[in-house]
Amino acid sequence: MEDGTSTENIWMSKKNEMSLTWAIRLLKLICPERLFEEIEGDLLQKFGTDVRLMGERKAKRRLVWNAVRFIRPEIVLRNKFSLPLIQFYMISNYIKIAFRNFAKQKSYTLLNVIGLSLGMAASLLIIQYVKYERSFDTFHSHAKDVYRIQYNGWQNGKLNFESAVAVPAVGPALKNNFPEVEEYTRFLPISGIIKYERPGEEPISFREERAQYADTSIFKVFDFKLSHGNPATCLKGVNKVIIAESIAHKYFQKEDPLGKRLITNDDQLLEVTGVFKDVPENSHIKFDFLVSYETLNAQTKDQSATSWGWYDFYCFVLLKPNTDVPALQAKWDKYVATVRGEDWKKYNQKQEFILRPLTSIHLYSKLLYETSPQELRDGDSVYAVSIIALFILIIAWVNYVNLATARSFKRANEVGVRKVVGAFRNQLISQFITESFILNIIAAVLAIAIVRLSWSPFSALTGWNIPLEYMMRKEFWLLVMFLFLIGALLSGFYPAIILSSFKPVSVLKGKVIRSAAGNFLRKSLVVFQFVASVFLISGSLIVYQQLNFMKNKDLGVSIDQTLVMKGPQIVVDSLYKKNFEAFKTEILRVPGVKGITASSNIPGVENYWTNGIRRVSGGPEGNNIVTNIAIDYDFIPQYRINVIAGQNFDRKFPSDRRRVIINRSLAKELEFEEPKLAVGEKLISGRDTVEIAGVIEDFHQMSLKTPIIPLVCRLGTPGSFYSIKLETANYKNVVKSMEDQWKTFFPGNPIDYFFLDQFFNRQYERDDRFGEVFGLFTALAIFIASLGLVGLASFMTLQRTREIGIRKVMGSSSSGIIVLLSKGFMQPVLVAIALACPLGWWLMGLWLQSFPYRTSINLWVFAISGILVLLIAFVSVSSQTLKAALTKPAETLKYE
Amino acid sequence: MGKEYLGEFEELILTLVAALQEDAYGAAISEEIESRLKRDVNLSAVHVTLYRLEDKGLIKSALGGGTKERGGRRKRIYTITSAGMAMLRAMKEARIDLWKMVPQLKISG
Repeated sequence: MEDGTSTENIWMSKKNEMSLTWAIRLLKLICPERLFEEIEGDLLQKFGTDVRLMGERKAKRRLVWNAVRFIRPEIVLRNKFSLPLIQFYMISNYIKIAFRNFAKQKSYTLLNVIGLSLGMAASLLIIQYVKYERSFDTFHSHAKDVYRIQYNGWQNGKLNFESAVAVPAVGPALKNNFPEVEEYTRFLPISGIIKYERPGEEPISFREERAQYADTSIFKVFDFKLSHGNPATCLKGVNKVIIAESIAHKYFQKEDPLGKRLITNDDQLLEVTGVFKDVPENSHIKFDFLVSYETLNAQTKDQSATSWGWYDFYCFVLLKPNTDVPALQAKWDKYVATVRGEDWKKYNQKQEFILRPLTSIHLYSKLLYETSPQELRDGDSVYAVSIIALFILIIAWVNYVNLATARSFKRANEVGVRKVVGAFRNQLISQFITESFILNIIAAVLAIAIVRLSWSPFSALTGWNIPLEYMMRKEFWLLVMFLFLIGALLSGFYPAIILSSFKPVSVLKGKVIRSAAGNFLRKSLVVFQFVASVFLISGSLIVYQQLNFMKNKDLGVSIDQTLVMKGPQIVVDSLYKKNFEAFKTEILRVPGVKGITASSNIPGVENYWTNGIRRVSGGPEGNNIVTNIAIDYDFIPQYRINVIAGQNFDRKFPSDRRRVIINRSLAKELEFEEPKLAVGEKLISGRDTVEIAGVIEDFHQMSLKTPIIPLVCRLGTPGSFYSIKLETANYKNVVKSMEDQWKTFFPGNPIDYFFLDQFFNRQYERDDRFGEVFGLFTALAIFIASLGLVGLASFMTLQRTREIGIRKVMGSSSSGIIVLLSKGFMQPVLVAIALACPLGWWLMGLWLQSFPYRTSINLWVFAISGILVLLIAFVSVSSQTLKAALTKPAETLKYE
Repeated sequence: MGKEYLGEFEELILTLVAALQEDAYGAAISEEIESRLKRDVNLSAVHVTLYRLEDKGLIKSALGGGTKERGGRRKRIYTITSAGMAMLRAMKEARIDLWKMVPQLKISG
């Protein structure tokens, strides 16, 4: 340094640029500081020689190369571990000791590993499920800026309905008047029979339920992918259709679908102008056919483009990024009020069109007329299951903490000796954390195996189609790592602190350490585990009760023993009526058939036929929105719907065509004081005036999750559904002759039938599944919690072996000893029951609030869950204590 | 250290440390190898080997002065320890013993 300092500055300024070459700077970053100076010096010296020998440019290159060559583990990692080196060597010792301990205490290890791996597996599965449910509609690149228009209808100053379908005029009105709105697109769902006639072959036809009229702009708003055809033009023009890839295959197999013609049931020809990739499973709106919107406009004289009253349309708008939605909503509300004000006054109505984010539809939208209501989820219950999964995981972690601290004194000698030999407390902590790491690694590996193996049975049980590729994703493995790390640290830390705190002197003297605080903590953790268990049991009982309540409640309509056939999709005219009468007569002749009736709708199918109705004189001002059903003479008696006033339609009165039957709710809404006062009154419905022939008791059109809506029944010979009442269990023959008759009367129409009760109850599928999942995880939670209890009990009993022996010698009975030993464990369980009951009462009460028709919470639910948990706890504890109590004192006293 | 073996390169470096004495540091050793043995060596290889020999206790090091040609950076001067010396000697003797067994040498010698 002495002679260097004087010349250094000159040298530095001259070679400044060079000495700071990036390679050296990089080396400085990662090379141990201690070594850097001499290495840099050597490099520079070498550079100097090189300059002389081969010129500056080449020397510079060599300098970089030489510097880079220093970036090697021997240099970079050198002395990094000089101090940690001891720990590094110790880790292998920790691992060895850990495995010895596991081997020595196989049952504890097993209990822990089973609990942890089940807990992890459960939460992995559930988190994947939650992820999947949250992924709905997020695959569109503009998903965050797409909104659906919700339609709220107000009547006489009160909110009449909140619907997912709105009027078609809102789309253009938004786009043309508000610069924030970039584009709109609308859907109108349709269904029917689609036929394809391949030249020279038998035509093929299928009933298609998933079809929509759609605006051309659909591809601007959404990211549905076309595999053939031009997104800008394929939906332009009248009678154009684009179809899903699977549909193309179904109708055309390997033929090129473009330009082919499909025939609808009203003999319209649709030209195939494009093929799109099947709509992803996680799209809330699903379709196989998209028919050009202009086709619809042509049929409705542009009503479908401009109507402010016809609400059957799913309207979506794409907003500019970062639009202030509340501000836009306010401006838009004002606009709607000025455009619609006059009409509102006339009918004493108000319309609200609210922008709702696309991505929240799947989990949070519960409107009338959702596209596929069966597939929508309740966001809260999705999160509820994830909380249950978390519970299970925590219960498993608690097991580890409890077992580790409980048997801590067994390790006390080891800790004492280690400390005497010179172990620092930190080293002991890292030893015990290493142990929990190892256990958690084993559990994590097992958990992954469990997840993989149970993936498809789990999907089948829950009806959650989580794609298996979720397991291949990076996120999944990050999650595994995360759960593993959190688990290892959380469950390892406390026992490590406890164990490492032992004082070597007292430990080696043989003083047994039992801290009151540790005992208290252990007990509170057990209380927590059992609060969770009791809550889950009572919760699943209440879920089950509510499901039963909904399924068994009288619907006001008899849906058992009923076979429903979907009617032929043909135009209802006088020819059809004659044909149907003949068909009916033939079906009635089939042995086992009690009756047959035709209707436009059946229970379990959402009723989209709505309009406004009001009384000719009196009643509320303005129109009342009602649903309609067309029925024939036999519908009401066959479905055993009670007529509470007036009478059913009668063949003797031809004037019945101008009469209607209403339900009790409508009578009330029309402000008739009693149902019978409504009979004979006149109503204005559209342009017609009709007379009320009778009032029927309310019946549930949909599941008990939705309230009853006002209904008007009109007489007709509708062709949508034929309901056949059976009086035999042997329906096979009936179906056989039914099919034969169908073929003679409605040739070329695909036959489609189902049992109404099954069909109706499918609405509860989601809730059933929720119940099953709840039950499954409840069982899992209790299982893991009792594993912990078994471990704890077996350990405590072992500790008191000598005490038990002495007690027996002194004359204590076996039963006395069991009571004595179990008391300590039953206490926390009892406390848990006392805590869990009010919690369950409150939380499940909240859950029940979401049902319009709900059961009340019975106290016996808590009694049963309490007793059940007590029993399970007692069995797990006494499995251990019984053994101890029955052992002969001579043997127990030999112990040690 | 009796059971330690040295590689060829390690032996070479160790010998040079013993030979160069006061002047035994990374860059000097590598220059010596290049000029005397006409063998291209990488500086980092020399350094790593020096560290390894130091770990084995065959040489020890101390920081020396800096010079102009190395931008004032100090050198790390290595000196051979007695264990290193013993090792060198043992290797040399073993080699000579082996040489004696080679027949051609006997004829020419």
